[in-house]
Amino acid sequence: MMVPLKDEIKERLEKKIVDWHQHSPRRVYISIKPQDLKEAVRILFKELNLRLVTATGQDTPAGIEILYHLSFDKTGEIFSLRVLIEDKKKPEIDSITPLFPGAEWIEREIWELLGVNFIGHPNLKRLLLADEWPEGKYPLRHEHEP
Amino acid sequence: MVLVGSVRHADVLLVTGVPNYKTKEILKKLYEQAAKPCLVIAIGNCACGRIMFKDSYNSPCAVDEVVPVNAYVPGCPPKPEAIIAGAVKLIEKVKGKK
Amino acid sequence: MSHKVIVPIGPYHPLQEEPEFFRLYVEGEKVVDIDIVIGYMHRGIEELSEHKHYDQVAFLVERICGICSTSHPLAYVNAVEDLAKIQVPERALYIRTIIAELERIHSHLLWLGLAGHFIGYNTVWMWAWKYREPVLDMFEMITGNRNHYAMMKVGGVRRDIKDEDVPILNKALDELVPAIDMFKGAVMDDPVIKARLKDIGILNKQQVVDWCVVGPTARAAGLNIDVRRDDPYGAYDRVDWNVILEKDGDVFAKTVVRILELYESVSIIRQCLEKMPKGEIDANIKDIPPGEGIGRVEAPRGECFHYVCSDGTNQPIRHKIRAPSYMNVASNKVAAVGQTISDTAITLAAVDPCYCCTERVAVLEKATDKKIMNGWDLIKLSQEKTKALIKGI
Repeated sequence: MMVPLKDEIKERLEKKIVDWHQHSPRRVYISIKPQDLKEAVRILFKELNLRLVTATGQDTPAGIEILYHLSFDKTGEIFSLRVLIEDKKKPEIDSITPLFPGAEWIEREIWELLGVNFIGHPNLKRLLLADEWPEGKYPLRHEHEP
Repeated sequence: MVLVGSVRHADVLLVTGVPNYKTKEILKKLYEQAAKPCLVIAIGNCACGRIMFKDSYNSPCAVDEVVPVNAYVPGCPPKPEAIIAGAVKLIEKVKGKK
Repeated sequence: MSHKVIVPIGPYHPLQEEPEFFRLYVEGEKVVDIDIVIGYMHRGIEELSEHKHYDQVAFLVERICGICSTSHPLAYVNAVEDLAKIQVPERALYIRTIIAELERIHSHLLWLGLAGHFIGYNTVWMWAWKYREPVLDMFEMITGNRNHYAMMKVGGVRRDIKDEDVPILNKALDELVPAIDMFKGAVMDDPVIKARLKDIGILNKQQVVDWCVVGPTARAAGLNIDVRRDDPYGAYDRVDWNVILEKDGDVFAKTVVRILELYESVSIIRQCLEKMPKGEIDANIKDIPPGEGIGRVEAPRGECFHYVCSDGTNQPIRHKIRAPSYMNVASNKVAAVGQTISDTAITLAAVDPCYCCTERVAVLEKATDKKIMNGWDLIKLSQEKTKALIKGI
């Protein structure tokens, strides 16, 4: 009998899981530490064949939170890996683009709109904003709101 | 109206959508390259006056702040009939001057 | 000695010289690398969402794209309904499905026309867009508009489909099927179109996985993914339909997938019109609790994803949007490389990109920066290749 994916994921990520929250039948949110992110994505993408849908960066009072949304298409479940980068002055995290190229634009966008540095990203340059857009001004950071 | 391959052969520029920081400069350059006289028609609410995008961090201006606009066709989106009506009105106005 | 030439490209509007949209690095006739520049339609919609009420956001996101203008609001309301665990009335689910499938039909016909134009089959172009008009008329009848239907709201839909409109819709669908038959015959039986599109712009299954590609582009390479079946929304799990798969991953396969999907869409709409129960169309939601939700739909171009985070106020605190073209366009980095310049126009168009922007093409001589071609010429090159093939057959 096939092991349900949730159990597989719990087993393979094991100690990396800081929190596990099942919001609805096909939506699970897994909190992990930033240093475990790259390996967790590697496990889900390469070993368990989930697909990266996108990553959501969010400016919160506690830090910059990034949710990496991975889909298991056979069941329609989305597992979102949640990391919190507490250092808002110089937020950075390992890039997952070296694992697969589909992540390239996703990380570039978070870099330019939120200011997170992706260590090891092969092509961290502007994607959406004009060249004249001022450095250090990140549109999705809340401190820039009027 | 015939779609031409180069802006230098154009008599009318149909501008749709709201300019952003990247496209604002393109629009200006396009207008400068067009052989004068060149009319500009702003098509759609956003081209006419930003409207929904007026608070956006990336839309600094409406079309008429970048290039002079001769006709505005509002709508979101304007029906094909409205665009044709706008173009016809402009043509008649221009002919009337001559 | 072959020298490297930079060829900036924009698929729909070949009028401007700069800035580049796609930069193609060419050696002789062959494309060896590609640099993709986007951002011309970046309007800061995610940030704007944070300052609008939940009801207003549906209107905002509709305008992300004029072609797939119902996919975004539908994904958005699905996200909020996931967040707040809202049960949508049955009738509304069917109406949502009908609108979404009508959108798929009009979008695929639009693409078919453009693809025809790019390879020089202007008759295909004119006929595809002619048969698209009745679909837009159906939209106008149900929703009042040809684009931007304002149908989706959190908890239901805004307008009902009247009983007396159902036979009119069915009749229009009946008249559409022979047209689709015609396109199917025209495309799949024409040796020149086959020669023109086969083995062009190949994206194989592994590349589709590595680039996280979605939609018909992925299904053309054999990746069996379709949000309508995998993560059902609307009434897709209440009607019978097939996911269309091809295996070659070339432009021809992408074309076939879209044409065959047209038949499925017609069938889905017919079943929905028949099975749609009477009843409420709106759950009348007043408040959104704190939390987060994810909604996704299978837009004509692939999976459209929305994430919404709420703090219990009447405005979202974060709204993340990922359109399908975001993944698909990036994959041109591998699909367009190795092609000849004359095949580039159709290769780039094959992912059915939704740029909503005015881009341009220019071929520059690298050493002197002298412009030797523009986008119009590139499309002409593509059309000329077809003419040559016709002469040869």
